[in-house]
Amino acid sequence: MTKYEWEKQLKKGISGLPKAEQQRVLDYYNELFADKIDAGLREQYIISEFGNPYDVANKILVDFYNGDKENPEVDAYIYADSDDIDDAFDEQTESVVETPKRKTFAERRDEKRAERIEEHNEQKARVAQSVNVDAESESKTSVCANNGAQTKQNVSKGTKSASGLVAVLCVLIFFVLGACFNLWHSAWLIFLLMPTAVTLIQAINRRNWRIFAYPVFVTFCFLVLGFYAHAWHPAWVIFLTIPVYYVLGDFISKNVNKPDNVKQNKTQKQNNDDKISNAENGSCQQTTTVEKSRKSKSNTNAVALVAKILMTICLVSVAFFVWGTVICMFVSGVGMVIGGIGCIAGAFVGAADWLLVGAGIAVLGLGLICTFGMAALFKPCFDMCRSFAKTIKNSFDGKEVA
Amino acid sequence: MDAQLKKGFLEVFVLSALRKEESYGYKIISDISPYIEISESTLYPILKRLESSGCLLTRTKEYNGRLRKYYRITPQGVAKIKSFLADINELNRLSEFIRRGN
Repeated sequence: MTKYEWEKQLKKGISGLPKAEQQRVLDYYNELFADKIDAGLREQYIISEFGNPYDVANKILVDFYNGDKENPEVDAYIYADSDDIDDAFDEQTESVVETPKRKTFAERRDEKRAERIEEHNEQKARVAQSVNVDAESESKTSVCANNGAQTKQNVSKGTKSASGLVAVLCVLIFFVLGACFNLWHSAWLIFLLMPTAVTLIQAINRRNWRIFAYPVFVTFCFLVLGFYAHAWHPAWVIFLTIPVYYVLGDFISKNVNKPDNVKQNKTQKQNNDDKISNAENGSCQQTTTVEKSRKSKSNTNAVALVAKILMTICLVSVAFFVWGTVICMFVSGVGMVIGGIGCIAGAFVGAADWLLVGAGIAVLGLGLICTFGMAALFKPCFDMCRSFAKTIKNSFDGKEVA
Repeated sequence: MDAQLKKGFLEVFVLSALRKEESYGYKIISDISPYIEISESTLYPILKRLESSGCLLTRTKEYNGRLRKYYRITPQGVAKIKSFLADINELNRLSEFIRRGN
């Protein structure tokens, strides 16, 4: 985000204030920004220090109206303890408030609803033991839904970094296999793993198994078996698994991939609304509705669990493979550096052999590139693992929701 | 630290930062932040509040081709610091009692 964008969003956020006050706020932040720039700080860093413009705007609005309690609209904003007041505020600011700001209030409202549901559940549990609505899972659902957008962002970021990492790794492995083991003629097969790995990550993140380039993966397996095991004849059978994969993939996508972030948000909101209305009516219909929905979903739960376990195994395997490769190459790089230094030192200890010195320098250079290259990949690897962990966690949260 | 307690402290911290000489937003934050956590968005309402309560005076001065707002403490602000210090002494007595347990 640039300063211009930050300022623009802040302006939107405080557009409910009088013009003079708006100008005062903007002047204050402009001055701070200029001072920080003069102090040698970078634009991005300053923006991150300022924080989310909508949060800043919120703070300013609350403080501004706090000193003006005679205004009923202001009281509605500051002491927005009830849903009605929140709704009233939303209506009042409909023309002014943009989506991110509305989100804040929507989140607050959702939290409040979740709290009310929790309270209601506790009350019901005390009155009748037969009613057993899991309040904890409700709150988890709420938190999960509220953080849905953020998680999605993190996942897409992780996917991008993982894709880049896979591409770099494939190229590196190709050159290493070619240069060190003279496998130029067969190492090209590694490039087939590039779309395979990238689409696998995307398929897992989006929970859409059709995205995975399974035919490419099958081709890779077929070629490997053919070239290295000379098993062309029975190996062709694996191509028959392609239609099977797509049939299974469709089945899984239709039955398992329901707890998408967006769908989860919608269903959670709907469930909350249903439960609140039921709670207000004081009827036992809530329990029966929940029971019914649980029964209908229980069939898909088993399939979902298997799919999630498989996904976890796949992700953990990919993470192990990536980390293994990176660490191996890092260690090889360090070894090459030591070897190169040894060669150069050895050449000078005995009679100076320039050929040996040249070889030593070449090995040292390659080793340095390898070492630093792999060291630079550590962070993307960590990011990738973090995104994997988040994906796994999300999927299992989804299981609880179902 | 408790939010309410911190809020009370911050106003006095800002006033204390201005006690020796007039200062501006960025410098106030830089002076205070080693002692107590404060953000830009927290400072703004404090300055505004202090200004409206008469503890601070402001003036705009040109600096480096741009305008910068300088804040200066008023006698009322100094009185506020003194009153806070008196309260702190009282608090010290209370904390001593709490620490001793009788």
